[in-house]
Amino acid sequence: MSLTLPLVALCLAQGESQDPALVAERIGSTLRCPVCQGMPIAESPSQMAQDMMKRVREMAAEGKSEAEIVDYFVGRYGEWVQLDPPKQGMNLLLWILPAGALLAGGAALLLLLRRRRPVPPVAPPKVDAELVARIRDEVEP
Amino acid sequence: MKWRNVAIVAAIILPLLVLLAVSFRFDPRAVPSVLAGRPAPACDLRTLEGEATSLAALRGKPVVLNFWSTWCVPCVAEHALLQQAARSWGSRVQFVGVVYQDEPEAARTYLARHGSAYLQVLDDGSRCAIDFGVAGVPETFFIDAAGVVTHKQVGPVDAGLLRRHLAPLGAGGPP
Repeated sequence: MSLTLPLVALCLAQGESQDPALVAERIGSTLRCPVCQGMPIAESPSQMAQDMMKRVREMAAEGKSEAEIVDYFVGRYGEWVQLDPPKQGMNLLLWILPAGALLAGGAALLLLLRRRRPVPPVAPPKVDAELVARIRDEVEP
Repeated sequence: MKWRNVAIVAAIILPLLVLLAVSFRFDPRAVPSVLAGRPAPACDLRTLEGEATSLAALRGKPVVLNFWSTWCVPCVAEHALLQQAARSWGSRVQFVGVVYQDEPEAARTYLARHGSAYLQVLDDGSRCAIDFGVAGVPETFFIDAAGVVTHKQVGPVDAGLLRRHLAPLGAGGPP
């Protein structure tokens, strides 16, 4: 245990591997395959995706940085090619809208609950004591 | 009180309906073109006879670059139209067909049957297709004499579209 913890810490501190093959796989899993439905090029069996993967591997082997490789594809296919859209411009709506809707819904619910007046307690109906005695006589043996 | 509730519900639902209506006008599978207005990639290509060539070598006149394949159904009709256009515009416009994701032999057989009135090239490893951001066939790029992409057409071209996009490139009309 005393040995594994520093090892784990070391691995975490090193962060992502710089091995070109692993870099290529990592980039490939974030790029959208243009001939598929929402599938990364690293996972698609289509020839086009494999050709794109080949290009990513070549660029990684040439020592290009991750940002350079992603920029190359964004420069050709647009931001669309990234499965995870960058958090900027109109894309921010994706993050803001759900949180905003949740807040607005919560506020509306709170308002509604506060405005609802408590229901006045219902008084038990008055029953004639004589009637109760008569019922008792009939029911109880 | 009742009218207020209706107004509140309408205020919530109407913007959602507008969002839905606007969103339906976009094709989620359409890949936006980011190349328009930018220099066309140089693209090292190979003719069907195996000779090396490149897009950069074709500068000097407008180029119509058409990505197609033998398994693409709309490409058949488009091919006939492009052949006719290539004959009409003659030497004023360079038409180029790039075989996309297909076997060279299949392309040769296809062209022998359907005719080959303009330059046809092979794109090893789809390098040129990736450089142009091609996401399917047919896709056609209009490139001016200086080598700048002026328009990307997704899906088949027609005669009107060819005229519209070639006229501003100084190609004139078909004779």
